[in-house]
Amino acid sequence: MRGQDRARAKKRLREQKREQKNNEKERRRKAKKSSKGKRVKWEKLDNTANLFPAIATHNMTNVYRISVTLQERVDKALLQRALDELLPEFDTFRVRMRKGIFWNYFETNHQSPPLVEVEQSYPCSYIDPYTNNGYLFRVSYYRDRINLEVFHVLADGMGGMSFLRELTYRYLRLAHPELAENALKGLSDETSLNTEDSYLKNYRQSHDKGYKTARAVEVRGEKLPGGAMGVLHAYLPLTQIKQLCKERQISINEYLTSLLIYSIYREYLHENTSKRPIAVAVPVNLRPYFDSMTTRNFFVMVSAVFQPDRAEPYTYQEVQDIVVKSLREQINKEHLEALFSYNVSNQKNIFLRSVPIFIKIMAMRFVYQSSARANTTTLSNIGSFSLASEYQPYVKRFHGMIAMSTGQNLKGLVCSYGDELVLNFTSTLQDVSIQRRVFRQLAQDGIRVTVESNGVYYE
Amino acid sequence: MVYIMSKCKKCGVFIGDQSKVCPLCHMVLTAEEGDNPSKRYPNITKKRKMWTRIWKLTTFILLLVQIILIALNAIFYHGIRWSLTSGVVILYLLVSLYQLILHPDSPVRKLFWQTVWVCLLLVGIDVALGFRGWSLVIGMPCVILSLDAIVLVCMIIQFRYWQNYLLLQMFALLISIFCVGLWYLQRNPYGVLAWVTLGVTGFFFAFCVCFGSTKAKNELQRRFYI
Repeated sequence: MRGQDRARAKKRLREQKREQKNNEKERRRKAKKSSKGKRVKWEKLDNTANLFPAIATHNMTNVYRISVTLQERVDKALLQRALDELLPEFDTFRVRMRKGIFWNYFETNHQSPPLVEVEQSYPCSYIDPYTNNGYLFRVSYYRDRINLEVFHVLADGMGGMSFLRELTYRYLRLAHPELAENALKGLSDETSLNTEDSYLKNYRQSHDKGYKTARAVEVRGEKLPGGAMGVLHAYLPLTQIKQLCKERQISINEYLTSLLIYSIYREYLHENTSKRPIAVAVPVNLRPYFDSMTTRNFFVMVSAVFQPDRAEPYTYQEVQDIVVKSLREQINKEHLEALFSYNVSNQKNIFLRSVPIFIKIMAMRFVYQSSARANTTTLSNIGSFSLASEYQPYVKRFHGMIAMSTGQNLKGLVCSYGDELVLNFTSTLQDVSIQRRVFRQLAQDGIRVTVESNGVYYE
Repeated sequence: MVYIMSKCKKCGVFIGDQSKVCPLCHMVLTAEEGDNPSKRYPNITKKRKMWTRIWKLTTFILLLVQIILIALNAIFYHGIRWSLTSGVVILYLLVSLYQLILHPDSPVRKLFWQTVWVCLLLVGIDVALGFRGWSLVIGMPCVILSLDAIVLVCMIIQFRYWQNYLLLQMFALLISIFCVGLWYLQRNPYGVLAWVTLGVTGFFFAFCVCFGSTKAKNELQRRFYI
């Protein structure tokens, strides 16, 4: 009997594989037919995007993930159909990256869209530009969650959010035909398809190098076995956090950044002095400052710095005051412009432009390695997700996470939807004392904290 | 049926997934009223890196073979260091195996690197056998002519993307100019082969550029954009 069951299971698997193969052939044939005679457009990478192909490896993938959790289980076939229908309308994501003699560039990708698969690897795993039909993003699902993983060369958080929102709309319209009758078809008017290089557009004059290279504290420890990545989500009521921040007269970003720095100071440095500062890299979205709607990268990194240089332990309030001051000094239009102008001036220098790309890659890797350890960790806030009212009943929440990088074994990402703020930590370390301190402090500040993990910390 | 969400007394946080212990402090959890927790992430099993293991095993076996050959060459040495030749061949096999199987790359780049490795292989064998120069004056032109034939076949098969092979043709042209340059410097007695190679490669490239019109122009413009 066992043998018969095994044979039946094998036969079922063979039939599934055959059906998958046939479906894929049919999709390729349709993609080939629809792309006949169509122009292959090209565009340059934006200023920040030039860095990512040079430094991306299997251990430092430069991939971020944003996910939407629905109120129902995801149907794979419908999700694939939604992606197949959406991608031709979304030129931002329908590209492949090619190597020129002096620069990498994007070209229209007419291959069939990537296959939607069940989630079967750790988040933010490497996206190979030569597999996945040349696409630089990946769509997967698990139970009621749809994941979009994007190689940072393609777009920053805003671009990813737009695509995920449209994919969610498209999927829900297919899953619920009553939605399709009432809702607008095509892309929504919240979505931008602008792909300008806003760095070049807003560059005015060169400035001195703005990024730091002095080393910061590096959080080290025993790594999770088997190359695992640990994920911890905390779901926080947005109204409670806003109320708390209003009382303290600081923003949510400043509150969470200072909380993270204080946690590192308490749990990793054990309130001791340190020659190296604790620095948290905070990406700042430049779009509001420069009136840009680009879906490509347009952000700079500022560092919130705390130097524990006195024997007497700092209190939480003192750390918060120092960090808030550090952030407010840097987040203004002039300083932000100075930060990206240095990189853009290098890109515009005719001698540097004429250097072949393989030398540029070596130079970028060297510069990146020297500046990567200037930050202890990163805390990114991708903002608030908004959905049209007719779709809101079908969506439970959004969250996101970012991949590890050199010298940063713990990273955080913040986003919100409705009345819920999600604080997510990704880490390759076994020890979770820093995350524990953050969540406990939030609970002590009167915020209801609900925590989920990806299970690696239970093993 | 009552569904429960657990709370950690030590941390003061609620746990939203299936767990009997807190993921932050590993304290046993107390049950509270709330939503039904469910598994949020799949179990990730360690993927078998089959090809990496095959490559490592092959590397080990080939290195062992080379060590044995060096030892045999040393014992039965009659003036010819033939183990150098086998060493160069083994190195070529390992590099090719790595590049073709383990390192995903575009077909054009794979062809490019294979051309480079084959040229280096021929030069390596030539050096191992006392350097008579045949690798540069006969070997390289033959490799370039073979490359032209392979590129022609690839362009026919992948006709929609034939322009992707233009850079490879330029590389072949540069090598054939180098071979003619050797003849000009009177280092190459087989001038006819060098000139035939240059002629065939040059004609092929010129044909593609002239009749490729917009596609060829766009490809070169993008590749050489400064």
